[in-house]
Amino acid sequence: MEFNFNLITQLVRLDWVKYKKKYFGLIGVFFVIMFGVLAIRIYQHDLHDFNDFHHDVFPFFFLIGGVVMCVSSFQEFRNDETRSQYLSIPASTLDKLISKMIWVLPVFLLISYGGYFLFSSIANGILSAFSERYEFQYFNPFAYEDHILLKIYWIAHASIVMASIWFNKFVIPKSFGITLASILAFALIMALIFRILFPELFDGLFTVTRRPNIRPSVAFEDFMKGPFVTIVKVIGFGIVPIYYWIVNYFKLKEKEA
Amino acid sequence: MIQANNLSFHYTTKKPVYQNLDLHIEPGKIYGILGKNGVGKTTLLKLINGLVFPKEGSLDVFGDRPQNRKVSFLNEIFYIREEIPTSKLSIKKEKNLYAPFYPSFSEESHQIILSKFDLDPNERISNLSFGQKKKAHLAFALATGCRLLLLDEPTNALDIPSKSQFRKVVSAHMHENSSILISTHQVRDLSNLIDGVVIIEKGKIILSEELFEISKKMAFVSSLGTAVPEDAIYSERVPGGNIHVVPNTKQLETDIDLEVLFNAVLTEQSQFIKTLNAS
Repeated sequence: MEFNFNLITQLVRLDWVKYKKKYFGLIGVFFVIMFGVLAIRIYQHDLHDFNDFHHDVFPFFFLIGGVVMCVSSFQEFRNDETRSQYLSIPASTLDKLISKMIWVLPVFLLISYGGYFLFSSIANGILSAFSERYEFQYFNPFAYEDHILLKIYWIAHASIVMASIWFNKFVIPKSFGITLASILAFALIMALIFRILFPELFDGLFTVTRRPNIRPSVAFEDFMKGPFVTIVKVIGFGIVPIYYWIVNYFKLKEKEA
Repeated sequence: MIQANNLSFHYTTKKPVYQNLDLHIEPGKIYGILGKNGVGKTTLLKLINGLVFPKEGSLDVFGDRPQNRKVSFLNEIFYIREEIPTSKLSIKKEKNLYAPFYPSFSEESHQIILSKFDLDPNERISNLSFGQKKKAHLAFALATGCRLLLLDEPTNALDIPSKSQFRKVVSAHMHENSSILISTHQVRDLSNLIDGVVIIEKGKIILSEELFEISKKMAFVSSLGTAVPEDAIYSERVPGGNIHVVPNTKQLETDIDLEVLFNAVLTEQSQFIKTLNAS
């Protein structure tokens, strides 16, 4: 596998120069919508606490932004000319993949968290300056319980990037299809494991029992506290995204124009 | 430089583009790839550039398999599609973005070629006409110093002075060891430029030969009347008379009319090849 740090830097620069206006435009649209939602909430006297507002709004924009970022990671593949041009650039498959990885991971996280922190500070600052009802306070996007947003993004991002490499057209519905299929496959495997290990908890094939006298056994509780959950977490957070990035490497290597 | 053996390729299994294709191209030459529309000229260029992969057989370019798309391979090859990707950047900014990927890129050559094409480096590519975009891309491609240049219908959308300018620039800026493959169905645009021809028909290469070798074996003679020479392999009516393709038994030095050559090979393939191969 060929790897060249200078070429990766050059590829990141190329994306920056080519697509910066698009990304700034998207951030601008998000800012306008967020200020609009904030204004509506104030108008409807529905804004009591800033942090509640941010907890409602931030996940929505973060996840939408994440999907847009991953879907458009290989936007060169959306048309014949740019697809040929991109595949012909003298850089290795690994260089090209890493340059896109830089965009969808550190750059996106920095922009989304930094951008929302900026928005919340401006919004809080304006409102606290004009109304005594609101007290200025910084919003910390990292304060989400158990970093759930980061975890969702980490699990899903690589599969959406795969759709961006794989498909030339209709990437958004197809990437939803892939992500949904992955989640269903994972849920089915989990359900099968539970069905085999704890038959008393099920009435039908996968119908969970509703009889009040049937309670999870001690074995079940021990099982849930034991290594199984750790194994599932390792698979979900470690193996699945890495597996998808490896698949992405081979998909990009085999990509034809 | 390019060696294909038993190469087969298809987009859909029902309609193969190439079956058991053999091709050998020497370095340092300009070849014209001729064929009717839809015969697979663009596909051949894509195969050579590693943009599509052979289904069977082998293809080596500079001793490498193009589908591996190694950096060292991509450094040495430049493909200009028939349709040019547009950009909102200026010619200069676009060059600054892509030139670092080509270690042999020459700023000086780029400037010279742009001025020959009468293009302003500060002009936005999106503001250029289709023909000007082609020239801007060609200027970049020639300045990369790559060993193999693949041009797909390069003279499409070029006006008459630009076509002649294109021929002059390509021959003037071609390096000693570099080669150019030009795919076109506008065969007249290649006259006085190419060293050899590759003619494709029905998924096969029916002729791959240098023009010098063809002119040794064949003569392209004109006549005013309707009389056809007895030994003519092929005759074609042209304004003011006829052109006949005849065996060059008298060692005549005649100019090869590429359009007539193309038509002769397509219509009288077996006789043409037989005469060409005769010692």
